[in-house]
Amino acid sequence: MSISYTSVGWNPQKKWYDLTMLAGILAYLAVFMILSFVLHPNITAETAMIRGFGTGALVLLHVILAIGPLCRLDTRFLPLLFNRRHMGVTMFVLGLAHAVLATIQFHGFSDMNPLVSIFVSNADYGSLGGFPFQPLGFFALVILFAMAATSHDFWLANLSAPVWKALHMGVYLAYALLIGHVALGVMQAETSPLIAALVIAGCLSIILLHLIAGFRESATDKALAPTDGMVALCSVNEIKENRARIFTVAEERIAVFKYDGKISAVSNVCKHQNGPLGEGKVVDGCITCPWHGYTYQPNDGASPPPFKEKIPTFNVHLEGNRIWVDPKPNPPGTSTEPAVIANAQPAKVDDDPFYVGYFPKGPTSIMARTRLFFIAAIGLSVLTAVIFVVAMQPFPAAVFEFGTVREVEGYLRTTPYPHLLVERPGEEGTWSPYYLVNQGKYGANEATASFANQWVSLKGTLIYRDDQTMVELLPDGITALTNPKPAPDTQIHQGESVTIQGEIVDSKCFLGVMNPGDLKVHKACAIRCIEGGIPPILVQRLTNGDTRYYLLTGPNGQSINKEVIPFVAEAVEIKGTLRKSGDLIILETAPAMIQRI
Amino acid sequence: MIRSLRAKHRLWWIFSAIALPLLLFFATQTDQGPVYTVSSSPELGRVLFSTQFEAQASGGIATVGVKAVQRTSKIYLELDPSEPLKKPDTLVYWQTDDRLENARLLGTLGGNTRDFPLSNSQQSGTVVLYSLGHQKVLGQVPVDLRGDR
Repeated sequence: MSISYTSVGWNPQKKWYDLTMLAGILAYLAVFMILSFVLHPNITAETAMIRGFGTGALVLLHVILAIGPLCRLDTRFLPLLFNRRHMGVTMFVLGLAHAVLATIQFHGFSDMNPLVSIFVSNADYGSLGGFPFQPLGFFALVILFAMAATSHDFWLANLSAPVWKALHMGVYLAYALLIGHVALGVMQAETSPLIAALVIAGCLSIILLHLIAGFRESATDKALAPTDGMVALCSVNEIKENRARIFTVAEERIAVFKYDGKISAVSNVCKHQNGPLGEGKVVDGCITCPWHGYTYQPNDGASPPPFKEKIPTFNVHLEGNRIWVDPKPNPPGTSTEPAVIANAQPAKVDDDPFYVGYFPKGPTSIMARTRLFFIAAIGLSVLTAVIFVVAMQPFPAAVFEFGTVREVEGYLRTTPYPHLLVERPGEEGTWSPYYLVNQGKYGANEATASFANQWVSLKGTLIYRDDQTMVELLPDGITALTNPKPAPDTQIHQGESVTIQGEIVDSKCFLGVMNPGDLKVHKACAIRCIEGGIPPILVQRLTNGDTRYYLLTGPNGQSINKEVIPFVAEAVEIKGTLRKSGDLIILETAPAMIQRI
Repeated sequence: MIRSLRAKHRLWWIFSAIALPLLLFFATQTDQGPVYTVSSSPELGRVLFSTQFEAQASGGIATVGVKAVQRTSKIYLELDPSEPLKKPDTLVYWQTDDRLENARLLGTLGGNTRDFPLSNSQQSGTVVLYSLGHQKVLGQVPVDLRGDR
């Protein structure tokens, strides 16, 4: 504690605490990232970072939420509470890194404000499975931001401890929102039972710890009944020297301390963070709060000068060995006469371990428990990273040659979607169709319109997966060739009626710009891309591991982007007519012929 | 923590103890993973020739298995890369002389095993993998169709 505000009142315990925490976080992230790139060579750096930061924040939140109830159940965990706020702020920073990267990746580079896109791109609020999970993460982050921003003692003093504490209980709501974010997000796409088991085990552990601690506390909250205006508490022998027992009288708990042959009663509620003073100890003549070490004189409830905190006191007296207290609190800082214990024995050597963070050294029994907690927390966190990475779905061999510009020549067609027909060597009259898109979440309709049915040279970046190829055009990257050849003969052939099951994806992300570029975690991004004009593709996955691609158009070969939006990133069955234009396989359909399965 | 907040804490976690497990249970029931279509089993045939060769892949070198299989009266080439080559627009050619320009295009190679039909009266030749996107030959191997091997 200090009398003036400083950004951080550093002491050896805080430095040790923060360094241990940072080492744990770095170990988690290092294991997550390295293992991700070793076991999943096709994972992109952005995906590894988004998942690493996100899971890291969630694991740290579990650690933070475990500390409170553990301290209620075993006071040897109390040193963990001393600097828990640093853990909270660090967890917010990890969550923020996850959110910023995910927002840029999934919602950036389109016509819509990314923050608006979080709420409206996937608007399937009516279904549980399809429910947009990203707004849940957004609201959790807002709560965590409010907590991180008000974590300093300046806010604690100005808001008052009960208001500050109530505000910071918002972490429970944030936790519930984050469980929803994970359950309706990554758990919908990652089918491994290991990931579900991890989330469920973590959630149940936190719930169980809080329930046990909460119900144990409720037993102490049963108020004692007064007799003739006074309440009988206990015998003086039931209180250890320099320690207290806690009782509930009237509305709140009081702490009854025994020290130097005297008995004093004060409010159990510390002015600082409403910590349980009755679990503290009289050190150097002052009641010392076990949470952060705020001190109060037992007889008047006032902090020793120069500190100014004051707590209510209670009048006590003894009848024999029995302690009686007046349940009516005195105003904070009111001096009261301690009850003197007749024939009090002199205090023995103090071997009762007690520690708050600013003490120079902690007792072995307490510090051993703290070290054990950190070792267990870091060990379990790293194990979580290993399990999560091992359980992740394999990443497909999809490539975006980011940063490599290539030049491609061919015949440019703009229907049904812009594509370039690139002549294959060997037999004449065979062509590879390369889809054309713009940078960001935009199709290339406008950029290619004036070059329709011309031989052109393109500059852009290749995107490819399986036998599908796409070019992301550079701005002004199309040049008409001056020595044109006859147009390729790739007429659209009459097709057959088919029914195909699969998933509608945006071709750009699925073919390699994002990995993974499918399923629910990518739904909002796919919607932004398809609304921006990226060609929609039906992906049919076969049980032998093969994938078939069908370019989706309307019944007359027109763009169907707007119409397929409600079905994107879901399992669908589409009826339509299959047509071929060279190697381009087109599925002509209509919204009425698309059904969710 | 003061008494009123303790009461709120208890109530919240009682609510959470009901709501969060329910949410997680429903989340495991509404799995939105990919849908698969059962693929037909490949037709068996007589293997005329089998070999493998090394082809350039984005991560270095990949091994590609090649089989010439006779099914009824037709001969098929089966190509089976050990891993996806991750090369853009990988074309498969059947070359019977020294010039790629004269080679016959069999099709494109995706990530998995692919069958390519050869015409009935085949002479021995060379399978060539060519990335049109990178305009580069990735690998080639001679295939002998004359007898059992």
